[in-house]
Amino acid sequence: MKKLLLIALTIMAITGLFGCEGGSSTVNKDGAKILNMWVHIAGDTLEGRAYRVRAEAFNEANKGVYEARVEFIPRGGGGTGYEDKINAALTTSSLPDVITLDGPNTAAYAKSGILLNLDDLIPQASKDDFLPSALEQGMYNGSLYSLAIQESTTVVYYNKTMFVQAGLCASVETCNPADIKDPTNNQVLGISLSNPWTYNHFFNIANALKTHFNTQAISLPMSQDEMITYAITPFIWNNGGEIVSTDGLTASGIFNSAANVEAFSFLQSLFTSGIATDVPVDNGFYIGTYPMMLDGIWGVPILEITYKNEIPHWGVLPIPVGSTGDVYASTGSWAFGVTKTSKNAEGAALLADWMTSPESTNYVTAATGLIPAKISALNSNTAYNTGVRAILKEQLIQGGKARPSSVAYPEITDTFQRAYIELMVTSNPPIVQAVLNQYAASLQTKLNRHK
Amino acid sequence: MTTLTLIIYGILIVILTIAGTFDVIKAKKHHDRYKLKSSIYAYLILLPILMLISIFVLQPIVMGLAFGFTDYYLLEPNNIRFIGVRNFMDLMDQYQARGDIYHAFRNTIQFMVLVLPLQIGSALGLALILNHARKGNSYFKVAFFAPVVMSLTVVSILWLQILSPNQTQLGLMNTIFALVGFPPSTFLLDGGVAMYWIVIISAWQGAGFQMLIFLAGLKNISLDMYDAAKIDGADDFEITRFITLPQLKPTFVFVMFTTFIGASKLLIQPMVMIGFKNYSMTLSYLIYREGYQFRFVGYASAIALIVTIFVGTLVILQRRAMKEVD
Repeated sequence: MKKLLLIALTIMAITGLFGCEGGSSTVNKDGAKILNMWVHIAGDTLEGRAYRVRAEAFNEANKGVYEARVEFIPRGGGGTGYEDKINAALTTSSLPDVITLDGPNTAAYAKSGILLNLDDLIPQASKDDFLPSALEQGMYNGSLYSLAIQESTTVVYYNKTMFVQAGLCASVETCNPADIKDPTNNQVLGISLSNPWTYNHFFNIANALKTHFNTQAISLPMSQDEMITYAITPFIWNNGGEIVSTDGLTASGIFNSAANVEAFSFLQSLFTSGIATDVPVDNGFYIGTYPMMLDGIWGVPILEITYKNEIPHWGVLPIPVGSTGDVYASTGSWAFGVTKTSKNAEGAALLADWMTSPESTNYVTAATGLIPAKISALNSNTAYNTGVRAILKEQLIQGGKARPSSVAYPEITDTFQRAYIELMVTSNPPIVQAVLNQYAASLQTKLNRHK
Repeated sequence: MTTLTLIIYGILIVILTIAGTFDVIKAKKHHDRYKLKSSIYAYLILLPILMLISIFVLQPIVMGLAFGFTDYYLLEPNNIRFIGVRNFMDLMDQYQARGDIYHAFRNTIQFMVLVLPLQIGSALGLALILNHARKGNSYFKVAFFAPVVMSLTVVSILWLQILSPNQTQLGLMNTIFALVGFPPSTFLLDGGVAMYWIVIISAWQGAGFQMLIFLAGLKNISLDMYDAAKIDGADDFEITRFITLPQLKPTFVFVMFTTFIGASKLLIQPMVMIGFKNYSMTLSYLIYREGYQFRFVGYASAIALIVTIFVGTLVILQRRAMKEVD
């Protein structure tokens, strides 16, 4: 009896092991081709549900031809979980037909042959409908590899009540960007995207707020993650600087350029003068500690719903500009890509296009609070015609710029974050040029590996 | 990778076959039927564990060594090319540019130098105190050992809260500072002191384990030696100096080597409490970062190879030094 049991268990174990080798069926019982899709978010979240609904709509519209099957693989801290699953699938050649990917990963995935070139698979009208920044994010070597789901940008949020108390505005009702005064000469600045405020204006206003409230004036990102690269790069771009070369493989002389040194020195001055702190209070802006906050568009629903009682009067200001006077704003979000191993490339491209269609991007952004990635969707969405969302939309269209499209993006963003954190300290600040030189040299050796 | 696995299995089977054949020939020569049978059984019994060792120990070691000389990029697992010593040359460039490898080496050595005496000293001190039968010894043993059974991640998060400099959620340490009139400290955010805190936390977490080993070593010392020393008029200090410590030497050597090797693998504490910064990166952290975040498995393997040689050399030097002391 024991022997029989042992034999049975052995057979079960062996068949179980070999059973893993079997792939899933490519055609469903109705004869429709199955398209497997991996999404980076949990299925029970608002965003996850939105993807599920749009995938079901695709199945309905393509009944008997294609069936999209969505697998939700939540992304952990530092990109673990989802990316690990993709890496594992690469080694076993078991990638699905369609995947979601973080925009800056497009170049690395495209270069490594994971993603399919979508130039001929996506209709021109669909491509033309993408916001320029969204399209730029999905390009590698002049070809389209990923389709943006939604868009985002960063702005300077400000507390109108505190601005009035500090004498920067006459009243909360008339404390729009155009009404804010320069405290050094009491002149109304008339801030708008066509008449941007400068680093000097920004410093003067922040300094006046700091003096009036005897606390830091702005909450800047200090947690070492992608938020730093995402939110701080516009301060570099708006001063005429860049992080790396256009091909993403040269840092020497660019990362430590004079323009970058100037921009980082300006940011450092915010910390050394007590306008910002390297140990910011959690939710400091939302609870009324700081009068300003640099954050993404997701701050809008938080202020409108969660903190509507704490901060009843607030507004958004565009990112200030440096010596060049050009306005650039951070952009980017996740995107859909078709894998090269897909046996149904046309169907997979159709699904990716569907998931990023004006209807889908409107549906998904209604859940996430971000900006639709399609121009037609954005124009049809009346919420973006007035108020703060109009400023966000205008800034995105006018100055939206994608982060470096480079196969070495993980190394680039890591270097940028570390240099920023090292420089932005309130006590004993290091010399900006020396720190940037050191990081530029270190980054260059890493970029050389990709050449 | 599959080819490499097959090669390793092939080597294993060849070794087993050769060893088995020799045994069979030997047994036949001596007309020893019992030995023949027992040899076959022995090899059959050994086979499963040898397979497991080859999968989980031998194969990773061989692959790790081999990958150090390749351009293995995580996104291109089917395009691994032999590139000679290029990874090592790149590491040299990084070191000269005062890049990550420079900081990782510096921080790891700093940690090893500081944690070794602190952790072993604390463990030995605690063991000597608890070795004498006293009321409440069991309580202290459990208390000192408790951090050992806790996950390093949990310990790191716990200390992160204790050392929190956040004004809205001031940590225990800064609260005490405020009570005694000291200015608040940024602790782990301060590159000048962060490594010292990691050393203290690591010693606190690990000392309990070494304490138990020392206690076991102390219990093994014959009581006759103590009695003889007392008869000869030795005081407590002399007994410790001339009986206890020399008798503990084998235990001490074991504890020192294991602590030393453990210290060279520092990863969780800086990763959870600080993140990847110049003052917090260690060799293990760099290997993880290069292999998983930057996707250069070949490059990470090259670092791992250097670390193995570095730690191995230090262990050999330590062993020699210990022998010379003898």
